[in-house]
Amino acid sequence: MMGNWRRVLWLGILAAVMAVAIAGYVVNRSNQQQASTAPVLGSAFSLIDSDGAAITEAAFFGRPTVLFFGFTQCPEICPVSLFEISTLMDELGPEKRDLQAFFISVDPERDSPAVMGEYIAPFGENIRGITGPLSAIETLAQSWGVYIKKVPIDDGDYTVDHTASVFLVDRHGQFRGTIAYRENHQIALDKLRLLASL
Amino acid sequence: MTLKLTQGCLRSMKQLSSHMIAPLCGLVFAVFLGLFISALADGMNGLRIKDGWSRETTAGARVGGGYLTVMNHGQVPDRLLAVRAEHAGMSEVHTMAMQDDVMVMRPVEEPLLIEPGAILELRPGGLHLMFMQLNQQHVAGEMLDIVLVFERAGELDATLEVLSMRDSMDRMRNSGDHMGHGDQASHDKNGGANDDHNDESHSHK
Ligand SMILES: [Cu+2]
Repeated sequence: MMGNWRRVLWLGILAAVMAVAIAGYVVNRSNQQQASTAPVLGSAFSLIDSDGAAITEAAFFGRPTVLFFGFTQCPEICPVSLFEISTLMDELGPEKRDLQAFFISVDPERDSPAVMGEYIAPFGENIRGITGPLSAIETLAQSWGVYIKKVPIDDGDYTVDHTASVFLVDRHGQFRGTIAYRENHQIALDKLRLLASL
Repeated sequence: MTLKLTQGCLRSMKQLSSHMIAPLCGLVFAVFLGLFISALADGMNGLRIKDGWSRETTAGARVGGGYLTVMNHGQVPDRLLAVRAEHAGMSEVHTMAMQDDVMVMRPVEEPLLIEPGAILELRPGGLHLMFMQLNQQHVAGEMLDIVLVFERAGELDATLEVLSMRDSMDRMRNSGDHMGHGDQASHDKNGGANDDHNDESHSHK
């Protein structure tokens, strides 16, 4: 009797070890598969666009996309970057194809959809704003490697330190590169032309 | 005083009517005139504000930037303590820098020092006037009246020309802003050199 129990116990342990090994192999294999594909940045999200409509990561698929994180209470980087993106898109002419751009607020507490809509309107139809709950914005920014830090200044006011690179995403949702702040205009134009053609 | 000297000069010229003394008197007169003018300039504290401009803002914007140059033609250092503008609820002097692609903007910690002969430049990519809580949009083509408050010179009026986005981009390209020069503080130089040097001379000391 004793021997039988011992045999069952050993079989159980053996089965458990095999199960762990197989599970480990499968997980490892799927990880390797993920690593072998091109980098995909950005998490899923559920936010609001500058027209007040719901928007998700689905908006970044199917069309080549330019993403810029910023805020409306920024005196130089944000207006200059938005103007540059809008100018570049105009300059592409027909080569722009279905290229689209999004301005994602790093200061959603002050940047309501209405504020964003009014702010970006002069930069043309090609740029839409994205805002929403701060925690959701923070998750999205983090998934793009975008640094956001709220810094109090005087009088209870604050500013937001933030990554100012422009992200280029192809129509399959794959990250293709960045345009730096004040990057050479011709190089930036070439990058956008390439992105639109992919 | 200058007048008395001139009269004295003329009298002595008449009395002596010497070929030697007349040019000497002229020279003395010229020297006094020069001293008088420089005293007048020092009376204005020797600060000259120029090239003031700002970028147009969109309707939704609550902040705007401003840029200008202050030249110290005087004999004494001065410091920019504050900026005031009626079109904004709060106005400050800010620094801005790109650190690893992250935009970092702060109010200046210490009033900006302008040594005699130095030029303080507030321009894109670095030091700027920051107008917050705008109660009026910056409209291209309009002029913004502001007041700069200096430690010695007191309150000086200045105007900023509001440029369209396109014109402001040209201005940025032409003015050779701070971008790409690395840490701003590292290439700051204290003034004291001659008047014509075009280097940045602001100091955070
Ligand atoms: Cu600022």
